[in-house]
Amino acid sequence: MVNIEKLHPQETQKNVSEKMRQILIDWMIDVHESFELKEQTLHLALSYLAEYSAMKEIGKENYQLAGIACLWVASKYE
Amino acid sequence: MEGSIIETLNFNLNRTTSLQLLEAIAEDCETLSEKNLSFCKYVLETALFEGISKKYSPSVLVATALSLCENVLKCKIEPKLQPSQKPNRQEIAECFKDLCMVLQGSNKFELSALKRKYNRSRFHNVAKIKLTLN
Repeated sequence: MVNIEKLHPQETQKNVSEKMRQILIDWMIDVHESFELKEQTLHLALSYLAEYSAMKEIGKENYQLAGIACLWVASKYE
Repeated sequence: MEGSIIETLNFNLNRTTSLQLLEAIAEDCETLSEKNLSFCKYVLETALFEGISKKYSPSVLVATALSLCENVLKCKIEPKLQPSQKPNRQEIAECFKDLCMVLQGSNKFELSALKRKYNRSRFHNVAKIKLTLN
């Protein structure tokens, strides 16, 4: 598994601020609640998002899409 | 986007999350009540929200959540752990400090969705608990 700490996600994401990351996570928690997904799904999705954003430049126009796609992948995996 | 995520993660979607560890500990631990478990989950999700979970391993996060739970809810939790499974005390202390700062509201961001979620009776209203440590 990739060590996220060493990859410094905020350095990889030049256009995404910490505030934007928190707004996205807040929204993902709301979506997770309204779709009544398993608790483990949220943890997995946020882990995928952290790792993906540490490895790839996403850009703010696709950041929300990346978040919901991570939740989608995690819900299928679960 | 889905394909890009899976390819970037190299099809490695298996993770040991802090929640899995907590649930494994809770299965063997009779002293961990439903309310304590909800509080620990709230702490772990706060760590995810604030990005604290990137700094520490799942075992350190769970040990810190249990320690916070003991301090705040004034209970004694005795998880059954092998000596080799016990995480570093120094790391737990650092994580404890970080989480206390966030939970005491010194952080500039609001935990709105998390607070709404854990203010429900299903989670024993643990988000309403004021953080007063021993």
